[in-house]
Amino acid sequence: MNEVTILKLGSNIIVPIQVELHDRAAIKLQEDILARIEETGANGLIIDVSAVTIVDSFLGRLLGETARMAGLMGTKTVLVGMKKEVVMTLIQLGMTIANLNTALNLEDGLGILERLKTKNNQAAGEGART
Amino acid sequence: MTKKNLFHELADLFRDYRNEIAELWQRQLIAAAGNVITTIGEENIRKRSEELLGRLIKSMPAGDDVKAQAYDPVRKYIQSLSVDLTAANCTPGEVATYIFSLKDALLSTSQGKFPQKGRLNEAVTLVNKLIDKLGLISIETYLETKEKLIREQQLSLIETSAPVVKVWDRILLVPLIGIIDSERTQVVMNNVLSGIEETQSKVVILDITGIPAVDTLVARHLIATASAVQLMGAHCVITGISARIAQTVIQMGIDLAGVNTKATMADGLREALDLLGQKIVKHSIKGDLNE
Repeated sequence: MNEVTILKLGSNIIVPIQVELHDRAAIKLQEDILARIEETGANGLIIDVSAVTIVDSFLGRLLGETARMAGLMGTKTVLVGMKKEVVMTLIQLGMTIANLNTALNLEDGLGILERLKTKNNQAAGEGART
Repeated sequence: MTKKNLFHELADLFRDYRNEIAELWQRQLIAAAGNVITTIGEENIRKRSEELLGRLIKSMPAGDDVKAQAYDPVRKYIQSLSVDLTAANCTPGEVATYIFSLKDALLSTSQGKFPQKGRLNEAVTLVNKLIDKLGLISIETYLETKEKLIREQQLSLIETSAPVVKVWDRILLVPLIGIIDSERTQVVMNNVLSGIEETQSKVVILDITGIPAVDTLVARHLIATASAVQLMGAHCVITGISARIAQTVIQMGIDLAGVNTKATMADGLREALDLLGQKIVKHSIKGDLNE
């Protein structure tokens, strides 16, 4: 079975999805990612979907949920490298992007993640919630 | 005697007097459809008329159902004739007149030569109906050609009306002009997303200065495009919101709150540079342009 690699880089977790995910594999991936966050205490998560050509409503919702779940664990998530075709399908399916950070590529994604973390730290330092 | 046999008889009659009919038709044409003759030439039209008459005589025994297979050669010939003539600037009316003038030639021949005087009326009605149907084919062909042209032009309009311009490093500009419908939105979205993929741009400015009116549908399309851009990981700024558009948007209760909007494209460009952490500054005046 094709396992999705989950990489740890500094305090971030990077998940480059290189295979087409079926429903069961996607649920397994969600569990694996969350377990890895718990294990490593990472505070940043990047899901790279640049190699994924088909995202159905299930996978779209699952990715959004994973981001929210990670958020509950105090981890910021950025979804990077979504393909044009994938975006158009998601828009047609009526997927919204509320509270989901996206970036063009991995590099930009890391930049956004660092910014989000600093903002969070500042907010925590000032004792205010964002 | 059945109706079908009457067609046989008429076909035989017309075959016998074929040359005479062609001659009569040609004379009719000179009198009634002068423009057709001057456009494509007297000899040319005579050749075409003879060909059409020949095909008609061959198909006639099959009856008067011009949509039947037996009439394929006639239909095809009229269609190509109609296309040629209208391409040469003849009006559809003139082309139809050309077909209808065959009626006079056929009828006067029938009246003189038809063997059974008692059934002449019936024969005349049949010929009348048949030629009317043929005339309609020419008009239908004209309409079909025009409609095809309109469809093609619509397509090319869609293709050309959604340019994606790179105005600055990692900033794309999409000037939207004219009417926005769902088909065009698809094309615009497709072009914009391809542009983002190719140039890895971070900001897209959608300029709607050229859109005459914004209704709920247009607004929904704009919001969809903006969300698509954001899903790609880029920012979207919608510019060209005039006072009137702002009024209608609020009055109709459209929620554009999630979208970054600006009044003019210049504001949008400034916003885009701001998002990228850049700005344009003045420097000491070199030329006299600023005087």
